[in-house]
Amino acid sequence: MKSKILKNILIFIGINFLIFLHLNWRNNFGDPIRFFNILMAVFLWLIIYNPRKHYNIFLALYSFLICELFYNTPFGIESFSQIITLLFMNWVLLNVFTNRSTIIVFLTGIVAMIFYRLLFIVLLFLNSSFHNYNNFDIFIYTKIFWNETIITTGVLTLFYLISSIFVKRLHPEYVINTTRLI
Amino acid sequence: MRFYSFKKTYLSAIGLFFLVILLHYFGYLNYPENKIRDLFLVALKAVDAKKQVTATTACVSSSVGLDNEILTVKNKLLEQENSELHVQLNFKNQSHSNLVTAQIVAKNLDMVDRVIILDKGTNDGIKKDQPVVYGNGVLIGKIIKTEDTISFARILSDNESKIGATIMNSDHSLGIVEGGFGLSIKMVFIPRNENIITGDQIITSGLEMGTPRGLLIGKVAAVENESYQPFQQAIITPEIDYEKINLVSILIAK
Repeated sequence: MKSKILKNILIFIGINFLIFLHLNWRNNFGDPIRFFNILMAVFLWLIIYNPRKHYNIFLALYSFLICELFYNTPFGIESFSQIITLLFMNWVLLNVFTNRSTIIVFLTGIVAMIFYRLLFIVLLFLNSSFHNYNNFDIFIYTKIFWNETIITTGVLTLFYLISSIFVKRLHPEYVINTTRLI
Repeated sequence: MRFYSFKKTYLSAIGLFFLVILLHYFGYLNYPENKIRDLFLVALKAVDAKKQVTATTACVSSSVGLDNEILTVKNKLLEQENSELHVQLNFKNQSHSNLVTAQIVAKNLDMVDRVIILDKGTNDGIKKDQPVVYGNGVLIGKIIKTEDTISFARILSDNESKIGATIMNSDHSLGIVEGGFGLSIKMVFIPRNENIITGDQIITSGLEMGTPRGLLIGKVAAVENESYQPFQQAIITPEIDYEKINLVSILIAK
């Protein structure tokens, strides 16, 4: 019980640190580097490793909504596209991309980022049609979002490759299986 | 073929999301939202201050001792802040508007817009459409959104930014200054027969509500006057680099 509470506290601190890191990254870095979407990369990485853990979806929901407080776009548009993307990718990883090779991870990143930004553009376009918010420029969006997709997917794949070495070495399930084989 | 699906999880996540959105738009979440925002902004400010100290330390000579170095850095930062405040105080004395000095706590967080977040909000009398200036009256942008303790200002280089302006030439040409994808600023809708020279200064025209005449925007860098177009346009060099400012003032009409 005590360890469960401690674990939850640590997760809460960790998730807030991640939000802070995401905001700070965008605030402090220049144009190509700041396109890296830390939150999407981390949550995609988490659902690639364990798509059956629902806890991740709710953690993502919390962090996306907190970040939305610092955005100028109408409240809810960005976080809605992010959470729908994660749910969609969760379903895809459970049913379609069941393999966990590097190519699949790369493809997951590409599909997720394109789906996320397409949904975002559609929602922003709908919003600009109904409201006075008319900051809608398809040229600049395409440029930004293409850069974001490439950088985020690249880092996600690289991070997956590096982390898979340690996860396979340190995860109890793998350790036990290896011992049995020996 | 059997599909794995976690309907309960998916539905509860979407339901929870819509509940938060509803509560947000009805205003029930204002208090916690402001508190969360303040907490994160304090942390962002702290990092920004540390970054400034580090950057200045790199500029200071390494021949002096570490304590001396830190003191020199702090001194330099205070001097810089002091001179910025001094210029703004001069401007305040000359201006017919009230000035609220604000610190920039974050820039361009949502990637889509060129927007800065200021640490003053409706509690300090900030309202939408008030002009944001730097130093001795250089226009940076306009307030577009306010919260209790913070406000969002769109800078001139944002592609949605549009401000009425005048060129300080013999014709006193009128036009609209607008941003170009965060990369440049240009003045459009200038009549073709008016004479513009590179280096002419551009100021606000004062034809908009809440924006006084005479706030400096920049200088003409190039003129594009094509025979097949009804108007000419001028590319503007901004008076300052918008990415390198920390302290600004918001003009509140008396």
